[in-house]
Amino acid sequence: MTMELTRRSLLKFMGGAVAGAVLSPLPWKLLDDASIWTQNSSLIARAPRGPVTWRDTTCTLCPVGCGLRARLVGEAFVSAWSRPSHPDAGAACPLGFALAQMRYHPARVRGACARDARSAAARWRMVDADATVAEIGRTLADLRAAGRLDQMAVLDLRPDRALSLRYREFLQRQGGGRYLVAPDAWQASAAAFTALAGSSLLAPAPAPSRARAVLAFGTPLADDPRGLALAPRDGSSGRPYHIQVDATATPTAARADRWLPARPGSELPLALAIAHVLVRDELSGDARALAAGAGGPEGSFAELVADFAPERVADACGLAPSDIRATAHELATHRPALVLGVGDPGAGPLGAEEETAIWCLSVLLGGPGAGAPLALRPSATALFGEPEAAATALSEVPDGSLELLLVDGSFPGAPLSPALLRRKLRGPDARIVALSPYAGGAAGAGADLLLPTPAPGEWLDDVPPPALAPVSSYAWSPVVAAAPDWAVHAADWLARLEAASGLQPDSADGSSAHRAGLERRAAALMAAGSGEVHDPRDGSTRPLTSLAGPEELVTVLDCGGAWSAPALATPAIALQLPGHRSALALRWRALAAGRAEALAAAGRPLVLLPGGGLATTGGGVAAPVLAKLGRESELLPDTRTAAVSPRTARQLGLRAGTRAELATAAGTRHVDVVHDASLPPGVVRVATGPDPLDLGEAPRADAATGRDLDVPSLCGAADRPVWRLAGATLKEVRRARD
Amino acid sequence: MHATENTGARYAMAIDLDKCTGCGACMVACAVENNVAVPPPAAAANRGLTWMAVHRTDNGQEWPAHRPVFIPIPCQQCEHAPCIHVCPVTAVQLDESTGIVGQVPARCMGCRYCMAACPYHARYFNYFDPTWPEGLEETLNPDVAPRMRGVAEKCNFCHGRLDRARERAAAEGRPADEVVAYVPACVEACPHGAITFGDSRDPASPMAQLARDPRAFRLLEALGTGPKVTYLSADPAVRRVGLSRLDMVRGATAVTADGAEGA
Repeated sequence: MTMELTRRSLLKFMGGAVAGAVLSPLPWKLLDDASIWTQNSSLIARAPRGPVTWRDTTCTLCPVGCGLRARLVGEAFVSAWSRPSHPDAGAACPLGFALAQMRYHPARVRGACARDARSAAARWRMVDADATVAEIGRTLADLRAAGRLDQMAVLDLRPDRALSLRYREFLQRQGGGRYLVAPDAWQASAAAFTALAGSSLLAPAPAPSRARAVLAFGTPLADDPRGLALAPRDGSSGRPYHIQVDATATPTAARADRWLPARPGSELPLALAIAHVLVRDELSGDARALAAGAGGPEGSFAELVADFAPERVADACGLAPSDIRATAHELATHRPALVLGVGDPGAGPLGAEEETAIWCLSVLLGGPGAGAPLALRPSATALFGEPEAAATALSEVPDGSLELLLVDGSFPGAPLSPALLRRKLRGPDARIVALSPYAGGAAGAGADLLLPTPAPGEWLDDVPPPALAPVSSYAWSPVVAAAPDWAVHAADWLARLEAASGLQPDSADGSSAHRAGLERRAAALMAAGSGEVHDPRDGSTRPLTSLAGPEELVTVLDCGGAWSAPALATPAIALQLPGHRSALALRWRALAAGRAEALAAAGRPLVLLPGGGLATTGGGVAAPVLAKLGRESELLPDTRTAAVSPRTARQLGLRAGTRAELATAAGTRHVDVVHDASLPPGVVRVATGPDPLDLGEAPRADAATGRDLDVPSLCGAADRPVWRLAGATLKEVRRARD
Repeated sequence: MHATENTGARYAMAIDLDKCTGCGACMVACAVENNVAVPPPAAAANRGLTWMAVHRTDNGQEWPAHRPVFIPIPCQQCEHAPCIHVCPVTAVQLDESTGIVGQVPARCMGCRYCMAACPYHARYFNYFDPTWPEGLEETLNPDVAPRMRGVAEKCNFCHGRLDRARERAAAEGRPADEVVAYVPACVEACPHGAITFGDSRDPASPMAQLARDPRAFRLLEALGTGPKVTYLSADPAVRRVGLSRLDMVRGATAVTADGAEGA
């Protein structure tokens, strides 16, 4: 028998082999291997490997200072989580959960940088750090030699820290210079109370849990990390009756027992009208407290509010007089009541006059005093026994008066107008130097030179009690990940600048001096001996006096612990209205009608309301993961979206998604229109930031041409300290081809 | 096909919509925990991966009668999950010991039938290679593998955390079949305590109690998918949206108190 290989038999064999292979596990094995290969593709990022450890720290992305637990894999800082055993009961916000990503933010600089900030399209370029320090040092030396140190200033975006003392010492050693602050809405509210109390040693400590009613003038009690810190938690004794004054239907307003949809900018007349009813109908027994101290022949507080009958201010407030009267009577029924100001923190301070009127209303309804909802606590100065020193508000510095401005960038979220900073400079050679990790945010946005500092989580800072905190508190933010070589502690930059300016620094190691300052504060707390300490090593909270000494308190703080003390059991104090009463009455009368009149005079049909993004304070850099909130949800409005009510949109002929030009007296900005039924007619709302869509990519076309103003500048933040409203127009423009 | 045996755990979640303020902490915590990549800036908004998506809706009224409502929607972990039935490559499985519907990326061939079948729109597709800004891979969670382009993914009740809890239980010498307690990232992150998680088969657990709450309802309950996520709201309009008009949480329309579509 012969085996003859024919073409047909060969094809049969090959066909059989292929069919057999298909039915065998081979193709499935190949598919499986291919899918495994795709999982190990070089395009897929590799997670760090190593032992998992945890370190307790404190969030420094906003002044609240929530306790955080950092998860490390090997030496990589992977994520941060809240700490239920911390005195804040495990509160944290999206900013805190994204803390680990702030180290790798695309806007982070990797060395000293420079640019010509006068051009909006200018890009940062790397420069030699030593040469930059030498250049700034020469400017300092020249100013000192010429006796022009008043042309040098430090802007501290987060005052009351130990580092703030280092800034002041830096100025003292130079022989002069101005220490500037740019108070945010919370700090401005607290400052108004301090002025009313007449003592910088006392700070307001509002405690809603002790109130039977809360009247909040825009205070974001439900949708801002600092508001959450104030809001009574479940389990606290009884939820107070909550009345929210908000121009728009915010989440806080939706959760209030009663919402007063007042007209934008009408906080002052509304507060005074409620006070008017309380006094007129003799619903408050505390009017005498306000009369004390500032009295004289000019009359009482009752006379100050006499002109603000609900019938007179109802139109300005956009409310019926009966609503205002009913609110006053409701608050009187629910005494003691707490009245809070602040407004939307993303839109800058509410205004000193508004805050003063609101605090006066709070005094009429139940405080301050022992057990009252409006209690007092020592200010940071008093808490640590440090010398009182004056700070100048940035808005009070004359335009064109500064040759050199150092900006502390350790609070990346402060809402600040770069245009305001630029206006303070003297001439073309004047410089803004930012000590910041980011080429953006509050500090970096307007700067010419940037000296890189460690990112949050990479350096030891302290967290004094935030403005309007119900209790005194103090914590440190222990380092959870090492800073890269090119990131230098701000205190070390100060030491190098001192040396470069020809001075002999106290210590060449500025960070060690900073550490010593922190330890002095711990020792001061220990010496005072009050309050209690949360020790994360065993999760316990015990009296401060149970610690062996300041060294143990330092150890606890180094482990992410926190000190806290209840508000002072202070009896009622006499509050003093600032300035001359007749002048105050005139200012109140002018402003009560003035905000709306100013808008009308602007001749623009819309009111522009700036606002903070949800759970942010505006103006800073957002962690990349927060882009999910901006791009994939409606939770975090970006700065290039203008919201108008459907009714207004119909009137203006603006469909959702339309590209439009938003114009105010200050300039223009290109935006995409969205419809938002939570807004009143005639209002356009734009977030001040942070921009969740800006991850450090190339500037958009509009920004590169310099035609787009940042939102605070668009609202006039460069011209006036209160920039919560602006007259505006919104017109469709042809969408540029990308 | 997937007969439910009355053994093991049935991990379940309850979300109190009356407490949710739409802060987004759950979304951020979920993305951080599960290595969810941010899509490229030029990508369309619906190309995102949002295992926990917080949708904003309202009562359909314009200011001043307007009231915003936030509805967080993770995978509902259905007991009778449509996505399981339609998957041609068994890349979706119901874990009988936990009740968690798992997604196996290595098996997924990217047909997206599961996305079409999911009535809750809680499934997402990797349209892009998962990339992070330079250096950000250092913040990836090693317990959760990043997924590749071309596969579907969804919430799995933080299975990486469940695995860690099981490892701890094993290290402590506890029985392998013991129901371990853990919390997903969104539960840990919620600053309002709006999200509760636990074993719904344990009658003493808060989950079991919340399921009996008169405010409780489940999304599109009439479909019979058996979601393991329970929602709580005292607002009848919100309950009506959840029970029958989930399309309204997508932004185009909203529901009024009487159930009619708003503007």
